[in-house]
Amino acid sequence: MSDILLKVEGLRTSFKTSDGKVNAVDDISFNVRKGKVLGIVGESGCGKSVTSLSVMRLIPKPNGFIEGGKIIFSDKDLLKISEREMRSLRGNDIAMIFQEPMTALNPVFTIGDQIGEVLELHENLRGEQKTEKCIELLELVGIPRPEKVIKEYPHQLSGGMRQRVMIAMALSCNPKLLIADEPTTALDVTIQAQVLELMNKLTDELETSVMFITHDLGVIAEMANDVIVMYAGKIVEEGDVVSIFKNPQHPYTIGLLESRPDRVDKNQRLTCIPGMVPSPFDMPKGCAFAPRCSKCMDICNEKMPELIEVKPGQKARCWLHSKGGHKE
Amino acid sequence: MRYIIRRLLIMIPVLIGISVIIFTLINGMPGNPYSHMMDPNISAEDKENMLESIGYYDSMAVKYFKWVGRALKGDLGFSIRYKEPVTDVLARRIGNTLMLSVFSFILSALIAIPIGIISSTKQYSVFDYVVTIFAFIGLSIPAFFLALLMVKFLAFDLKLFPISGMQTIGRGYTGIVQLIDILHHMALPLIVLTLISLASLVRYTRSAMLEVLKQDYIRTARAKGLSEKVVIYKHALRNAMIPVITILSMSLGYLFSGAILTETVFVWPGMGTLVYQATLNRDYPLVIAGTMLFSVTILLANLFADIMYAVVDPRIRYD
Amino acid sequence: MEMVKHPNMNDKSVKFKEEKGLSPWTMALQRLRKNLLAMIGLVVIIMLIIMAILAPVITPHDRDATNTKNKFLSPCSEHLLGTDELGRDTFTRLIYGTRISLSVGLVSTSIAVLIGVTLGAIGGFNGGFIDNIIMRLVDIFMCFPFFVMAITIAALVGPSIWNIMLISGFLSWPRIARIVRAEVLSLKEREFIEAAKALGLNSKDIIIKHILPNILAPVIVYTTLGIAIGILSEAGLSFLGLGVKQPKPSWGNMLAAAQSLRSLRLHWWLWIPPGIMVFITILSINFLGDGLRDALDPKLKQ
Repeated sequence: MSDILLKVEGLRTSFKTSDGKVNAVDDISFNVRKGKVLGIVGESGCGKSVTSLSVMRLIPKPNGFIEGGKIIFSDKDLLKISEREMRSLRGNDIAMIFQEPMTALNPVFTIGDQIGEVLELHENLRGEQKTEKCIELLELVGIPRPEKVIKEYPHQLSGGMRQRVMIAMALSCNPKLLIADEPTTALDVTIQAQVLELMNKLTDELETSVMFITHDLGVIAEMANDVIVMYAGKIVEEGDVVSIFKNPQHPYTIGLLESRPDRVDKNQRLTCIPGMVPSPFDMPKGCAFAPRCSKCMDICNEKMPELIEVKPGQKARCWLHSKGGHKE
Repeated sequence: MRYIIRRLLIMIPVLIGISVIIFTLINGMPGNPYSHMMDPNISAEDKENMLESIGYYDSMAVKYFKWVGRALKGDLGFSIRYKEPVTDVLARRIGNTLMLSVFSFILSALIAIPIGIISSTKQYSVFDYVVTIFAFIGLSIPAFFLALLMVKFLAFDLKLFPISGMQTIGRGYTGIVQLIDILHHMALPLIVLTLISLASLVRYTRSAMLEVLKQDYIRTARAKGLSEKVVIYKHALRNAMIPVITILSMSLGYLFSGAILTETVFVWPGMGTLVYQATLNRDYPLVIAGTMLFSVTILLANLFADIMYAVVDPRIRYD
Repeated sequence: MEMVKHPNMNDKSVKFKEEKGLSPWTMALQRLRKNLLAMIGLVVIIMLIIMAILAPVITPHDRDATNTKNKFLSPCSEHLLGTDELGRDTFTRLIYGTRISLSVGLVSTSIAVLIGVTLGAIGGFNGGFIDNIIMRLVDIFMCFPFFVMAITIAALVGPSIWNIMLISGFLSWPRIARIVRAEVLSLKEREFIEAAKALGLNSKDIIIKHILPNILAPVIVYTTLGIAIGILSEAGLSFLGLGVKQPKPSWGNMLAAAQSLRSLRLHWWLWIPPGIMVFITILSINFLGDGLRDALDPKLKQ
């Protein structure tokens, strides 16, 4: 227990829409270990971003709400503490980096203002000290001429630079947990690699735990220690990174691995998973993946399988591995 | 800076176009300034001479260039009705209109912006619905009808306010008493003008805020651990104010001309009533000068709005 | 981002894809149906139109019949809204006034839309010198104080219902021209227009067949709201005696009764009902126009 920083249990987050309630995240449990990186993979709409925002308690109100579950961070249930207490954690012990560096920074404040704001709030730094720390942070994330950049506005920086600013901002208070929601998706490939390397280096140095959210398995392979694969609001497979890549158990994970473009050069045909993610209003009765699954069995259309341990340290939610599902 | 100069250059042909159109239009009016004059002592011949002397028979182009030449020297002509320079007549009225419209401008901005902000942060709340409905009502009620209702119920029936004018005639109030008397007369037109502009400004602020509140950087601000107050009044408001300030600057253009019907209903001795009366009296120099003044104000306000936009939005300066 | 898209993407987009792709217009209609205020506005407008058409059926009195014995009667069972200074039935005139006021709004907006769309499309499509001239013209017209100009022109050409329609139409085209020009400019860059050009269609065909259908949404929204402006300017001008002339009744010239201080104070039935009619009509149009904007332009939807 002591090596676990964040423990999420039975998290359920829903949205009210004009057509009724939608469970965006449906009964999810996972752990983030101290100093380790947990990767969360899935197609868009699978609930991975909602999971991260739930941990931050930043689900957009009034339509979104957390229905149930526990989010235990350093022995505190984040869903039980006051908003005030939560605020003192945000940006301080738990920090977040978003997908769109182009729009995630406020266009009307300078870089210095925006980083300084966090330092002022959580570290109580003022004036000279604040400026110095800002410059130091910008240097840390590899921004050239930081003393000039703090006086600049976001639109004057490139996407990669802006994402570095976001990282500097997130790391400014040495957070225990960093949530990175598709931090490199919007960037060019070369910049992507640089930013990932930077994140890797810094989180290693600072011993920060990371929740890394992406749809890109290649990134996961580079960054993560543990992996969970999400589909339609549920975890379909989880395990350590080596098992997931070497020995995937769930057909969806297998499909994702096979549809990676970098496998093409292995003289293999690029395959893709047929069909689309089901609409949250029109969930299949049984396993949500059944309509797209090549190994679909009768029972798959009837009942949702449980997430069970297939091998030590590796779990999957599939009838192929559950009792009652064996047919062959 | 170069941007401002370029804008100023574009203004010149527009200004010429405005003046040509207004001038041609107004000089095309049927009837002459003396056609309402029924003085039997003046013979038809004398009338002809008088018309000749004011240049009534010149060709339109000649009239226009004469007028422009004089206008550039600050001479806007001689009011036929008031028998004094147009500039003097206008100068007397400008203050009255400005008093009314500047007050209502400030008042509506002060009330509308906070209401719009609160309404947007509580979207779908009862407060928000009430504000939205009232804004719709304010947008839809004709100003002069609202004015008439106020006169009927508040001035005639309840006798809370004077019916029209700007001062109680024949009392010769001075000093503080005069000021109170003027404020008392101003109350109703001020309320009407404020309510009308309040409505659209509330809607504008609200939608600008709603647009900003769903931006990614607001989520970033929340993720930093900032309090809701800071998120809304610093991060969101600063951005939402960019379009609101632009709209406010543009609405400055209607300070003179926006109240014409309201002024007419309350017989407020301002620019609106003046130009309306001048139109009925066929007092060409006055109508031309008044309308030009209105148009130029709008033109300048639009320019000012552009400049303000560049000032408040850091993204513009470097583009 | 997903978490925002997730619930919003919701309603129709996902479902419709499965119900074999409904057209965007059908989707807009679906959205409009859900907007209570817009539906109220629509119902009221339809009722007003029916009232205008069925005027002779609704009221037993003759529109212009004077009766000097029954001047300034207050509302009674015979005259629901009393009578005016000539003994004419106010309720009857109010109902007939609907015809005039609505048609002024409709015709003046049609004029504005016709001029605005034509000039906007030509300017946006051709660019260059023509565009420059048109845009300067727009700038010039945008600087005119609408109502002051309307009064001046009305005084120049004399009061009549046709003049009001023309004045209001000629003064309000620039806004729609600007909207159309901006839309056309952005459409011009899109592939399907490029493709049409490559296929050798001439500009006229491209504008009519490919561009106009695409700018329909903003034009519809504008037209709706423009009708309100037309009705308002009729009311204002007629109130000043520069609009629709007696004995034809319009809401505006009925409101002019309030120009007399005596009627303003004592004969409320002469001017409050037409004022309320103008208000209700414009309110309904605003409700509908707002709903249309939300429905037709999901980008703007909050």
